[in-house]
Formats: sequence, structure tokens, C-alpha cells
Amino acid sequence: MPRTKTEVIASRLAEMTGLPESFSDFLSFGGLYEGPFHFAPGEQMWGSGQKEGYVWFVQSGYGFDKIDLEDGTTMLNGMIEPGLFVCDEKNLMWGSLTASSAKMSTHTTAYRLSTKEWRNFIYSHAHFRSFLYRINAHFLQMRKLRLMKLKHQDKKEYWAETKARFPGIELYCTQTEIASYFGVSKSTMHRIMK
Amino acid sequence: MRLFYLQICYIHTIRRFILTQQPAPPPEILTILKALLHPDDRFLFTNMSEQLVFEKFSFSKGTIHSNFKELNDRITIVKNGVIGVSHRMHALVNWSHFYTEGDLVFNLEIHEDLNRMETQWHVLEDTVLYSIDTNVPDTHPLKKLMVAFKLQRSLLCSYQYQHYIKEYGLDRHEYSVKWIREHSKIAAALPRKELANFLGISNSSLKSFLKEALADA
Repeated sequence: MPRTKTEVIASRLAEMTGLPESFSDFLSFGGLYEGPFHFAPGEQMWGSGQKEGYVWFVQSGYGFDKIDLEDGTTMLNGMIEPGLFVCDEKNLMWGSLTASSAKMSTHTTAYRLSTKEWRNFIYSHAHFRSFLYRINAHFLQMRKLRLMKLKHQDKKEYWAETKARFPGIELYCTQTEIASYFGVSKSTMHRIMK
Repeated sequence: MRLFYLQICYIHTIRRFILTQQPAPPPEILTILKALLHPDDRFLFTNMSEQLVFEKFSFSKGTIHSNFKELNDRITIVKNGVIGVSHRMHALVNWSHFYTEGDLVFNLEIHEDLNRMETQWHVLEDTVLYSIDTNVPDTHPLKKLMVAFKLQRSLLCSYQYQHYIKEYGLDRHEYSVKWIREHSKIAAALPRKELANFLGISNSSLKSFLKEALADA
């Protein structure tokens, strides 16, 4: 039986936290989301420089997000995959214009909640807020590891790991974009990929 | 006299950590705190900042911390000094960042339950931190402000690593020269190999970048 948007989101939160899907905060949170929104391959979920920001929940589909760097270039950040909550963090934290973009590589179904509504919900739900801290702690560990790998892991080994983690990455991202993920030049990336 | 004795004991039990009485917050600390908030929440700060209770923490140069739960649920800012953050990967110790004057410090990276890469704080210079406790009772007049601080703290402690990842995406030459110029004291204090590792460059590149950075100094 098809599940409602609220159930799908509550179920994912239950999976992430170990709490029951029927937890009232999860259902209220899921109920706030708009959608579904559908994206075709090559379509942007959000773009850089946008005023309105959203916390997206991806039900199905794959894509990649890129972040803007201070020098005007962009850096491939990671894969967007089913079950992921994803947003432009700068917009979420300080209401700034988005400084990242997300392009979907396959047909995608997603839901969205404006960052303003997201904050209002978090402020008024203390229990939910305490889980968020735990979830962010998990992201912190992931990023710590990513930073260390970026700086110090053997690039060939890291490329093999990345291909396994993001299957099809070379089909959906340019070599320049992939090189930016590894912090190397395009020609070095070409050698690593060979 | 008895109080003095207790204070000494306290200092000893927590390894050179000193908790003094509430200091008056320097204005720049208040500016940093306000900027941490989402613009929609900054009005909460306007009338309440005078009620904030600050505590001062002092770290002695040379100490290393692999856990510091006294800063749990706190917003903490470096008043002065330097703390380097290291992680262990493939049996090597690597620096990821350095907290200096005006930086917000997050102890989640060295939280005892979550620290999976042997992350440590190395106090490279005598350091003073100013800190506020965000845990207040529900009826407390600062409750809303503290909830806003807590949320930003939770988001920012993860986002700070995204910032370091982004920095690594910048041109290595330009970034390294700029970093060495801006942090010449830290650069001078680190062994060359560790500095090269931190900047993600070879030892020979470091040699030429150091020359370039210090040429106009």
C-alpha cells in the first residue's frame, strides 16, 4: 500500500534515531513538508544565489551537490540519495543567499520545507531538537573523516572508495567536478582515474 | 581561606583548568555572539545581552585535551591564545584547524562518546576562553535566546568542518601563502612536516611558499 508523505518522512526519522515511527514530533514534522516535487535527469533541485532556502527530503533519485568557493570556483560536495535530508547550510543558519547547488542525475521525487518553517518547528519541539544535535554530531564525524581523507589518503585508494560509494559518478559528473572533490588538478585526476 | 583551598583542589583535579568568577565580557565577544545568531533571532540578543553570564576558562600552553565535557551545551569563544586540533588517521597525527582569537570553539569534535579519530586539542599558546551555558530553566528570561544559540551551535559544529573542506578546494599555492602570512606564529611553532601536511602540500612546496610568504613580512 502506498505510504503518505508524512509516513515516509516519519519512517526515515525513526530509522535515523531508533525511535518509533509513530512519535508525534516525527508525524508533525513530516506533515509540514510540501510536495511531492519531481525532477528529471539534469534538473536542479536548487541553485546558487537563491534567497529562498528549503530543507529537502529525497524519497527517490540520485544527484550531486556542489558548493561555491571563495575564489569563484565550485567544489563537488557529495551525492544526494534516497532518504537524505539536504539543504544549503548557509541559508539555513543565517538566511544568506544559497551558496551551493544540487542537480539530479536520475528521475527524482522529493519534498521540501522552508528553512523558516524548519526553524520554527525546531524551536517549538524540544524533544526533536535534542535528536538533531545527535544527528549533527554524526555529520561532524563524517566530515572529519572526509577532510582527513581529502588531505591525506592515497588518491587512487580514495577514488576506488568513492566509485564504490557513488556508483556512476563518472557518468554524471565532469572530470573537473570530480577533481574538485579530491582537491587535485584535472590532469592529476585523469591519471588517477586511468 | 577554606574557599581558597577548595579552588586549588579543583584546579588540580581537572588538569590545569581554571574556572574563575564571572568576567565582564569584552564588546567584541558580544559582537561575535550576535553574529552567530540567525538574523531573525538577533532581536532576542538586543535587550538580553547584559543578562548573559560568562565564565572564563584558562588553558596552559602545552596541555592536550581529548575530552572536555565542561564545555558541553556551551557557546565558547577564544579570547586569546591558540588551540590546534589534531586527528589520527593511518597511524599519523594530522592537524585540521587552529582556534585563534575570536573563534567559536566546539567541544563536540572531542566528545567522549563520538570521538572516533582520536581528535585532540593541543594548547599551543596560553589560552583564555569565554563561555556561556545555554542550559537554563524553561521559565528563565533568556530561554528563547539560549534555544536559538543551542540550535546554531548544533548546526555550526558540523558546518565548520564543511568550511575546512571548502578551504581545501582553494588553490594550494595562494591559500598556503595567505595562511602562513596570517598565522605566522602558528606556522613557526609547527614542525615543517606537520605544517606541510596541514596545508596539503609537499615539503618542497612548503619551502618555497614559506619564502614567498615571509618575503614581505
